[in-house]
Parts: sequence; C-alpha cells; structure tokens
Amino acid sequence: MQAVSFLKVRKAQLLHELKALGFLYSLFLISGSVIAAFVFYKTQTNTKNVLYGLLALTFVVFSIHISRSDHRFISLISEKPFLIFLIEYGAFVMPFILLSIVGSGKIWMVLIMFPIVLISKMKKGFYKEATVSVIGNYVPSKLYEWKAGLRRVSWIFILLWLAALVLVFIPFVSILILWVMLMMVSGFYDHGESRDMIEGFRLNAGGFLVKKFVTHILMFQLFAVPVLLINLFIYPDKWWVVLLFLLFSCVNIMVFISSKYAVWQHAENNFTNSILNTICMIGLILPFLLPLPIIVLVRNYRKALLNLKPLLDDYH
Amino acid sequence: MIIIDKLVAGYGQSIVLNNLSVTLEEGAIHGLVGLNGSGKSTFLRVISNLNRPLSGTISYSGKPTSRSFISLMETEPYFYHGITGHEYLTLFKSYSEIEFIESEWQDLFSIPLDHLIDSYSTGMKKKLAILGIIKSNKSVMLFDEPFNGLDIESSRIFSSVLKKLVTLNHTIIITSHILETLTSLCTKIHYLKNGIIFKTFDSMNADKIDKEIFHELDAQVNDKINKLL
Repeated sequence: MQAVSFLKVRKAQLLHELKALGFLYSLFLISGSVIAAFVFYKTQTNTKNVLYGLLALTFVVFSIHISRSDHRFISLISEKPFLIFLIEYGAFVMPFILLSIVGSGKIWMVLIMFPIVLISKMKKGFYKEATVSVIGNYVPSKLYEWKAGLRRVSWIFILLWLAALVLVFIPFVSILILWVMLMMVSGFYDHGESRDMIEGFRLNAGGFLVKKFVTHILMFQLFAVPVLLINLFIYPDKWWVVLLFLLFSCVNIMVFISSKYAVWQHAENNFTNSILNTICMIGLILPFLLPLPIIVLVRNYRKALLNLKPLLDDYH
Repeated sequence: MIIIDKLVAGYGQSIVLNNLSVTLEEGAIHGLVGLNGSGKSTFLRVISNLNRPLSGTISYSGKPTSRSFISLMETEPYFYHGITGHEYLTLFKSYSEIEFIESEWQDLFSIPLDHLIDSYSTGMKKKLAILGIIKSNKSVMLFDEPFNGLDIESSRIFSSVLKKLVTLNHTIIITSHILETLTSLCTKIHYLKNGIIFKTFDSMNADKIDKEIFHELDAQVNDKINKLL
C-alpha cells in the first residue's frame, strides 16, 4: 500500500517536472524516449543484442542509483528503502523487458531483475565516502571544478570512461561516449568560486585564464587520449575523426572556462552558460555549428579578461 | 603606516564614506566600530582594493595599496561546493617563509579539514576562512566581524593568534559589534560615524569608548523602552 502511494507521489513529481520544463522541452524529452524505445525494440532481434541491452540497462539503473540525491529522504519515510528502490527501478525497466520479449521472442531480459535487486540493496554511504576520498584525492586542488564535479557525477564518469575503452571495437561508439563525458564536464563550470580562491593563483587575468585552459584541457585529455589512441590504432584510416575530436574537445573546454569567467561574480553560481555550451557541443553532430565554439571563445575570452582584471590586476 | 586621505566611497548615488581621513599604524590591531550601515564593511573593501574609491588616496608604507599584500575576510565567507577544508587551504600559498603546519592549525582550531566544506557549521566555515588568511600571511589582514559564529574557545584562540601576528609586524583591522572583544584586543579603536572616523580611542581609555558611543543612544532608547514597557 505504501509503495502504491509512493508511486503516486512519483507520478505527480514527474508531471510537475514536465510542466516546469515547458511544452517544447517536454515534447523533446517524450519524443526522445519514444525514439530510444523504438531503437531498443528494433535491436532486440537476437540473444546477443538482448544481452547487450541487459548490460546497458544495468549500467543506466546503477548510474541512477548512485547519483540520486533522495537516499536519505527514502530512508526516513520507509523502514525498507530497498523495496522502494526495487519498485521504482522495476517500473523503469518493465517497458524494456516487454519490448525485448516482443522484439526477440526471448525472456532473457527478465534476468535484469537480479542486478536490480543487488543495486537496490546498495547503500549510499560506502560509495559516497569512496567518491570523496578516492576520486577527489587524485585530482589536484587547483582543478577544484573537476574535483567537485567528479564527486557530483560520482562514478558515472569513470564507468563511462571504462565503457569507452571496452566499446572501442564498435566504430565511433567510444568517441560518442567521450562526447557525453565532455558534455558532463561542461556542467562542472556552473558553480562559482570565491574571490580568494581565484586570488590564490597569484596570476594576472590573462595568466590565470591561460593556466586554467592548459590544466583543464590536460585533465580531460588524460581520459580522452588513451581512448583516442586505441581508436587511431584500430581505425588508422579514420585519423581525421580522432584529430577532429581532439581539437573539438580542447576548444570546448576553453569555451566552458571563458564563459564561466565572462560572467563570474564572487560567491555566485551561474547556470546561464549551460545552454550556449550545449549548442557549442552539438557542433560535433551538426557540422554547420562547428565554427560556433571558436566565435564564442573569442567573444567570451575578452569578456572574461575584462571581468577578472579589477580583481587580478594587482598580481602582475 | 596605512594613510587614508580624504576618502570618498559608496555605491551608485549613495555615498557611504565621506571625506574620511585616518592614519593607521603598522604592527598594531585596529578596531573599527560603528552602527549598522555606518560603512565598516565598505571601509575594509576599499582598503583591500575590492571597491574603488570615488576620490581620495590610500597608501601603505608609501605605496598604493594592493591585494598582493592585503587580505580580507568578509562577514560571510563563501567556499566552493564539493571540496574539503584541506583542499581549500592548499589553494593558498604562504607569502612568508614561516611554514604553515596544517595539522597543528587543525588541532588548534578543532576543525575537520578532511571533510567536505558543505558539511561544516557556520563557526567551522569562519575558522576555515581565518586559516586561509593566516596561511596567506600577508602584511595587512582585514577581518570583518570575525567573531560572529565562533564559539568561546575559538574566539579566545583567535584573539591569541591575532596578538601573536602583531608581534610579527602584521597590521590588523577588525570590525566587531562586540565592543568588549575589541577593547581587550585592539591597540586603537576607531569609531565610524556619518562616513568619517568620528573619534579614535586608545586601548588605555577603553572605559570611555562605551560612554562616548552609546551615551546618546542609551538616552534615546531608554526613553522609548520606558514608554513601551
């Protein structure tokens, strides 16, 4: 009974979120879900594809579980949070199980309930602590956007990277995953830092921005370069795709940083850049948008210099 | 010495500091008192080059003031979401040759530096901001209401730290609403009123400060309270 009321609450929350998103975004989201379901249905033609689907769905559910922020809330309202998680994830994968059965005529997808039971039993504490201590400790403090960002997206980033390495044998899939990772990185720059943290660099405005560009590009390429090199080794004739992504990722990271500091204010977060960053990122899929990041970079670099000068002018 | 001459500063059309002149000795703790809105925070922000004055000059040892040797701790320090206290402190390099032994400072202020700052209480955040300033170790340190939110023990420790910093020739300016804290700590106390330093008191004359500042106010307020109760 409690589970039914909880699902009703979730339904109301979903409708509320869709309403808040607005008609256009809701339509986009629903269309995307329908297309994803259709693609899933079409690929479920044999046992091998069903197993791939099973792995992918397990990964999605695991990602949702470790990144959701309502673990504490659910523990407070229910004596058995495990059941709530199980019902929610069960409801989430049910359409995929049905589509798989209809598409392939096989019931293998039902096996997903085993990992879902295990995932639902996982407590937030152990991987939260691991996220703070393990992931964060390997990132230098000066790259605090990355430190905090990786802690926020938790293990998803690492899992995506591992997926990019594993799926490198399927043409371009690993580069697509790197693109998703870059999209995640763009969100690292939404949070503003204090004035003291910027001053801690003891550099003038230009030096500060250049240092940020170099260190943050290196940080991303630490993940991207191994995947790109394997791609280059397996598909040497497609060297230009690797080169294009390398340049694209470097320019976009500079766009994220310059956009952040173009509007930076002490002790303020700024989410207004996220739309522009997303449009710049789409350039990899829609080639006519490819020059956009360079135009945005030039414009925002100038604005960032002007914005930071009053603060950092004393550090010549 | 910090020499402030005919300083005018404000926000937009509103003038907060109006022709303010004062000389602040080096190697001393200066207290700044004044009622809400008297311009204490603006005064500190202008000295630290965060707000540009409309007119007037500020110099330190004959040079224009610079953020490279002045640090300011604001009333409500802000930190970055998702990093630990230790990681925050590593962002600051010391400006002197004295080594900043983090573990010792952590023990002294009882602050869990390995935890995410998001989980800190107001007092812990204040202590972390204080440690950031101490680690930077610049010649001039400005603290805006540093005792707000600090527990009794930490306030006591912080006062002792300030006294020690002065012996190392740092110049410190503190604002506080708690007059007793300033009278026991500061070499000079400056009373800010109507946009100027209305009066400067020696720590020797601490008893006069209370009378001077609150004499008029007490008379007005007591009349009102007597009517109300």
